[in-house]
Amino acid sequence: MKELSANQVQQIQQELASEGVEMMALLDDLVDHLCTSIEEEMSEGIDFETAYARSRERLLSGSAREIQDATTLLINSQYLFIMRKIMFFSTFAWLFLWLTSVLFGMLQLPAGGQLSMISGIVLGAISLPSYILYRRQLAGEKSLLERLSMYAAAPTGIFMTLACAFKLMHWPGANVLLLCGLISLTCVFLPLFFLFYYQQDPKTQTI
Amino acid sequence: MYSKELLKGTLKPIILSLLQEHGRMYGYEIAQKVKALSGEKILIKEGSLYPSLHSLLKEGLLETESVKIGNRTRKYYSLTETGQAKVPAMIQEVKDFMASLQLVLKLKMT
Repeated sequence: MKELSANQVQQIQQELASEGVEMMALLDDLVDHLCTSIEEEMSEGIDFETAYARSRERLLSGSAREIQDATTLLINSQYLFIMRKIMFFSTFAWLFLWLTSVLFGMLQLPAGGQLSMISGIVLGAISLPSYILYRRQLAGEKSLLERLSMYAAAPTGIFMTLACAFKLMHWPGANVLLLCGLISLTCVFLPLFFLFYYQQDPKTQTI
Repeated sequence: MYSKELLKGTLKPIILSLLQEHGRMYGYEIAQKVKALSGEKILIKEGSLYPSLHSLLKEGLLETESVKIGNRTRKYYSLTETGQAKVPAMIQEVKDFMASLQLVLKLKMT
């Protein structure tokens, strides 16, 4: 059987890499798969360009990046499932603790302040980091809003955690940190987060 | 050719069963073997084959060996000891599922 030249193999490799295949193990597989098919076609007297185009059409239904995304999703499915659960339960815990602290404050019950601080730590140290990790591992091209919401979650989480830790330890600077955290949360992260989910919702995309 | 949806749940047992029978195989070889054995009814595209192979690798059921073929690297997939142990149970599960499916469809047709 005719063997492809180094230049031809490199051309296939570069084209697949330019489509966004970054996993080397997968790239080797795809290159070998296409090369073997092309060599089979070429042994029947077809030229390289035609054999390449035919093999691509026959073997790859979409772009090579889609194969990488499907692979990443399958490999990380368990991790994503766990991250999603942590994100959901920690956000629920944050809301519950925060609302309880507000209620405690209104009823002038003790420990309202501590509850509020714990809720801040849950949000900053668990909920927001799990949001970043979850979205980072999700396959597919990330939109600008998604990336911005991920970038905004990091400083918000850091400010909130530090502020609440400083408050609980009665260290100076806690109020400034808390103010930064709240501004970052309400003015940057939450608007970006809701805009991103609004944009993602299929119902809004048909309008 | 069967739809992608139908093949989804059975691709991993197919791969494992083939590797148990043939020892070690590379991706293209697996796809061609399935095509030939199924009378060209099961056509596995790269988009389905490699995610499944890499998922089986992650699960520890497969291992790879890289061999230089001309100007490229070819990866041969083979079963690990864990994979060898799991194949009979997976194939049995598919058989049970097919038997149940047949039962359900027959019942619906009558």
